[in-house]
This record gives sequence, structure tokens and C-alpha cells, in this order.
Amino acid sequence: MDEGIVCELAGHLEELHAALRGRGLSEDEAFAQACEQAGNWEELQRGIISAKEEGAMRERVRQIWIPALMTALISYAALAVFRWVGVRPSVVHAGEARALVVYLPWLGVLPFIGAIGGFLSRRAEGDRRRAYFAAGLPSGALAGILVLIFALALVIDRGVAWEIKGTAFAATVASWVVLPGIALWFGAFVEGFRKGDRAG
Amino acid sequence: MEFKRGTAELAILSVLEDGPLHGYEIGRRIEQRSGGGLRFTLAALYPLLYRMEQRGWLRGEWTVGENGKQRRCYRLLARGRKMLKPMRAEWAEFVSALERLAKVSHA
Repeated sequence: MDEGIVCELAGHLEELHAALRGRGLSEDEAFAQACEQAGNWEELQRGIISAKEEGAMRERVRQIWIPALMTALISYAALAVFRWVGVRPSVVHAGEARALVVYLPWLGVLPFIGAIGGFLSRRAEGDRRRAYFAAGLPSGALAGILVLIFALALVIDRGVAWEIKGTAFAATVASWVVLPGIALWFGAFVEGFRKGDRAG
Repeated sequence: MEFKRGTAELAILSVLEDGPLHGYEIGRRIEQRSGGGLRFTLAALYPLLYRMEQRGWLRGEWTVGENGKQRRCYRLLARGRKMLKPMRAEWAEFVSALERLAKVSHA
């Protein structure tokens, strides 16, 4: 158990013991009554562990999952808006099955969105690691989905050469994971730097 | 007397309304102000204090007492203060409804 908690509980018992002694109880009587009023030790331990776990979970939700969800929603909403207004992607061909598809205006706004994610995490007292994690999670999640698709393609689409699938996968990851991820992290970094990341 | 669901939080918030207190003093004040009717064990008090702290209702800070010993004092935060009013209203309504139903006050 946390040393601070042990000190706090010990202090409580000392005060209780002193108060009982002050009421005229003998040393042994005061000790026995203090122990009785303390209640069940196992219940106390379980209660404290449960309270701390609830707190840790609440912190993760506030510092990681909500900022990450907001970052993802705003990122993909911005992409949908760009597509809806007719923004065409820039396609950079680098040979067969290797093309980087990049929505430049979207990449341009992603640092601001990453900054929002970082800000939300830090506002909930998240540290730098959690702020970057929250800001970059949309890209990380997409990377996971792409890996799954690639694994499925390897199994299902046996007619296509592995090299072609591999290069297509690499180009897709670069377009939709690496570049957006860098943009989001850059935003979170600048936001954190503004908030004093230099110190820690 | 056992604490009913939600009453323990209300009791703690109420005694902290007057100023920061450490755990032992919180328990003592509750017992005193309830005329000895409500009493916390350590096993009931501290998990609840930590839970309320995690919810942002209280903040515990180490201070040095008059006897030179370190004690963790709990201070009511704005979020906890905000919880007090609806909790009190809810309990007043509950007690009043129970009185009407079971005529508790005339029992």
C-alpha cells in the first residue's frame, strides 16, 4: 500500500488512541477500542484499492480516451468536409501500386486538431506522454485497421504478388498514418511547448 | 447507525463546508454533529475520501499539525461544493416523502 496512505491511517489511529486515553481508558482498553473502531482491515484494503483503481480509470478516460476521441472525430469530420466541398487529393505516383494520396489542406489543419487533442489531455492534467498519445491515437488506430486489412489481403488475395501488396500497404500507411500522425503530433508538440514542455 | 447510500458523501461534504479537516477530525465531527448517531470506521471513511478526491470533490494536502506531526487535510473543492445543494435537496425530498408514507415523524 502507498506509504502516504499508511502514514495517514497510522495518524488517524494515533489520534483515536490518544482521544480514548484522554477519556480515561487504560492503554490496553484504548488500543482494543481503537482497533475495533478501525473496522475490517481487509475491507479497508479492498476499498482503498477499488477507490484508487476507479480514480486511475477515470483519469485515463479524461486524459486519453476523450481527447483521442475528439481528435479522431474532428480529424475525420474535417476530411469529410474537404471532400464534400470538392477538394481533390494530390496523388504522387512512385511506380505501380505505389501512390501517395494526400489531401494537402487536411494535412494543413491536422496540427491544429492535434493541438486540440493535446490541450484537452493537458487540461485534464495529463502529462506530456498522455497528451501525445491522445493526439496521435487516431493515426495509431488507423494503422491497426490497415495492418488487419493487409493481413487479410495476404490470406484472401493470393493472386497478387506479395511485393505489390507490400508496396501498396506501405504507400497507404505513409499517406493515411505516417503523414497525418506527424501533423497531429506536431500540433500537440507546439501546444505543449507553449504550455512549458521545455521544463519537463 | 449505518450510512445509507449517498448519505456518507453528504455527511463528509457538509462537515468540510466549514473548512479543511483531516480524516480523524472528519469522522469526529460527523459523530459529534449527528449526536453520536453516525459513526465512520476507517474501512468506510478512507476509501470514500479517496473516491471523492478522485472525483474532484475534495483535495487532500499534507500539512503540519500543532503537534508537529504531518496530517493530510481535505479541502472542499468547487465541484464538491456544487454537489452539496442537489444532494441536500434530494435527501430533504426523500425524508419528507418517507415521513408522508410511513408517518415516521409520528412514530
